Amino acid sequence: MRFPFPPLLALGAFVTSASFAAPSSADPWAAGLTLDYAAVDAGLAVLHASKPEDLNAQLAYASSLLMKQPRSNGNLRTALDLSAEVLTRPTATTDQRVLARYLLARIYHIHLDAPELDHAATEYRKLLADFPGHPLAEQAAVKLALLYLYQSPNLAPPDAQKHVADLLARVTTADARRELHFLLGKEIWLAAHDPANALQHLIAARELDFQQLDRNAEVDLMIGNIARENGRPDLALPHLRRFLAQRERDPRVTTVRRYVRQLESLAANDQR
Amino acid sequence: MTTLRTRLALALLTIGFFGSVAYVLSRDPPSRDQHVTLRLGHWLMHSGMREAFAEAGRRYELLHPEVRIEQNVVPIRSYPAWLRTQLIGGTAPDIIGMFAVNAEIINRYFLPLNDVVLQPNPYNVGTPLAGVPWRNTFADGLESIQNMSAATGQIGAITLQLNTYRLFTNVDLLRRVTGQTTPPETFAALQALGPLVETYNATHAVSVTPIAGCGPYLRYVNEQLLASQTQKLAVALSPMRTLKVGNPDLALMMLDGRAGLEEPAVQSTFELLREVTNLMPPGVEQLQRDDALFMFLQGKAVTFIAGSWDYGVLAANGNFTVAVDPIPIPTPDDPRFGPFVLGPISEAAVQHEAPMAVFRDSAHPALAIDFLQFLSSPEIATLFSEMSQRTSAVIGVPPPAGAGNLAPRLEGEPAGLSMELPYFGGRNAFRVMSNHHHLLFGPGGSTAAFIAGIRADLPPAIRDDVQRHLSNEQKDAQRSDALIGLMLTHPGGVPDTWRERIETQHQREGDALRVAREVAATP
Repeated sequence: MRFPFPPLLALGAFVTSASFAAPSSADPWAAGLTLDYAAVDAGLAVLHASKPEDLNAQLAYASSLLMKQPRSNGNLRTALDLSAEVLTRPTATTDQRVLARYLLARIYHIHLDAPELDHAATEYRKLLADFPGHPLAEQAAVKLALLYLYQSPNLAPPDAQKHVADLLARVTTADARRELHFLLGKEIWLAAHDPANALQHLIAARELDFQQLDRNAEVDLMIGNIARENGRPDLALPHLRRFLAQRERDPRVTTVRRYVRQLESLAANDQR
Repeated sequence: MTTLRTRLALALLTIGFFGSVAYVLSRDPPSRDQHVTLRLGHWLMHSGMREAFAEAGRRYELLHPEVRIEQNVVPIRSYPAWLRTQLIGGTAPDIIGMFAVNAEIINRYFLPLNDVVLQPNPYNVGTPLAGVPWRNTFADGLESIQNMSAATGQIGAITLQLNTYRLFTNVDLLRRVTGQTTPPETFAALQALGPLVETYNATHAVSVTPIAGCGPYLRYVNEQLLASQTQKLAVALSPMRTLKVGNPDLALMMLDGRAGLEEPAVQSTFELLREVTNLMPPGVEQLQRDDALFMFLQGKAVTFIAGSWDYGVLAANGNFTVAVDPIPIPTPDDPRFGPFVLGPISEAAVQHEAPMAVFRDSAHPALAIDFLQFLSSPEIATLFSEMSQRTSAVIGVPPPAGAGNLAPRLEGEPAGLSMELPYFGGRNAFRVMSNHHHLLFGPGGSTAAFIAGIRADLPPAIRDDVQRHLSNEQKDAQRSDALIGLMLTHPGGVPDTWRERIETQHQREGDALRVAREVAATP
């Protein structure tokens, strides 16, 4: 007989493991949203195995595999299979089908070690074709725009911009329209140096309001300065003033105030 | 016999086990003390900080007699390892100084304060900040804290103080050397100290240096003084006309020549670095903070370029009058360095200091938040400012008495380009430049030799940094996909913040892809 007595140790180990394992398995989503990679995929794997009919749990498990460490193509292939399987289920809701296809597209686009951009584009296009007006499906238009603008070496910039403009004509949700307007405005300014056209898109994006805390002010500054440098003081002044109203403490405030004073002085001279 | 012994041992063990269980269950609590102890862990050992935390704790205990505040101060060198051990072991203090942490640690171990910072701080009642959302009572609206966790947007801490970089002057020594008591206000005036100090040394047989400096503090010279040389260039090159150039775009411009080594403003940046280090002791890069501090405190340097956090030590230990001023930069009419300058650099986006977070597994999270609100009330923030001799991050709190110039200068022009890319990618470009400083500094150094020295090694180093940056951005985008998937399947309902997450992802993914395309097109 050896000490310590194994059954007592086993009892202790059981009590200890039960008490420490409880929090992560209780809410694996919370673990995922706090970037606890180990707990999230373990918790969701158990949940998915115990409730295979729960498609939300299946998609959550697939999502968790995208952040599982260490990364492996095996996990990514499992995530692909889980997402593809949701699309074959007659009980899947529209939201579940959209997310499943969106995950497929994203895995092909940025997760695999050797990205499959053609597959990604195909899945993005299917999302747009099959689910018009769906908030997540229309985000696929933005990702497709990134593919056209930056990952299609055989596409000349004007042609890429034309494709993005076509996408813009198709989508209806404000979030997708705003991002496409912004991307177009930026590319037209940087690559085509066409201030009038760029301003049109940047202003359209700004009017749709960004979600991020400081992005509205940044875009106001972009519009204000591009307009100021290209002979559109009428556009520049309101946007520079809006920037100042939003950014009381910013290292650029003094400079922007000077620009506003210069524009106001020019406007006053014109009126005389 | 063996069986009997075994049975006896088993019986004793069983009696012992159940006896212990019965004792533990039946005994009184270890103490009748009804106090709740709130533990606060930080690394801020600088003069006045511990005392300020202790006094704030004492005042909080007077308001809340049931609470005891306990400080746990750990030296900065061991703090990162100590913090990780405490977090992983679940034994971290209730309130934690946030230092050397990444987005994963912030999200996993720190309580999100996003909701609570939108509500007014109850300790601000009766002050000019009454009714103002807590978040807006801080100088930068906690943006710098939120930017530390861009993928989730979590606000993991509040910040108590701000850092600025300043020129500290030993006024008594200045008078002896120059006959004047006004510290240098322009770079030309600072440069003029050089020959005057030489004369003073020769006539008094002493070894005084115009500026005390050290390797770690040279970056403050970079951020304030050298950045003056590319102010106009930054405005001209800002891709989307936002008056700034981010590091990825700067790297691209260094590669394609728009901010290359032939650019006059870039050459002038290195020339200015050479001029200012010539006013510092030889081998300045090898010196540490304490070396520079002692040199200044012992009266062996007329001025000291350092951080606002050093003021407390200088004021308490210097046997002379210390003047505090902004680091003087060349004025636009300076014949050598003026043509590239827009004007004094704004400090509206200053560095935060003393960020304080709440441990996610704290037994008293509401109390911990309440104490943080107490710490950031104007009364306690003012106490902190006075005791620690540092600048408060709370709006409206005056800087320490006699050191008004420590406060950030809000009026001014944007800084120029950070030409040494000190915080970009794998810091390869920064290392290449640092490794060749010997060609620039000292009597035999020159800008031409320095540029010739880095010309071959710099482009591949920048490309490596860009690749590291792009790889990090891709990982962030991958993580965002997982987060968005989890948000959209959440059994408790889809949080509306998924829209902001995907917007952030679009923006960063687009920027990274654009930079990747353009860098690939550079020669």
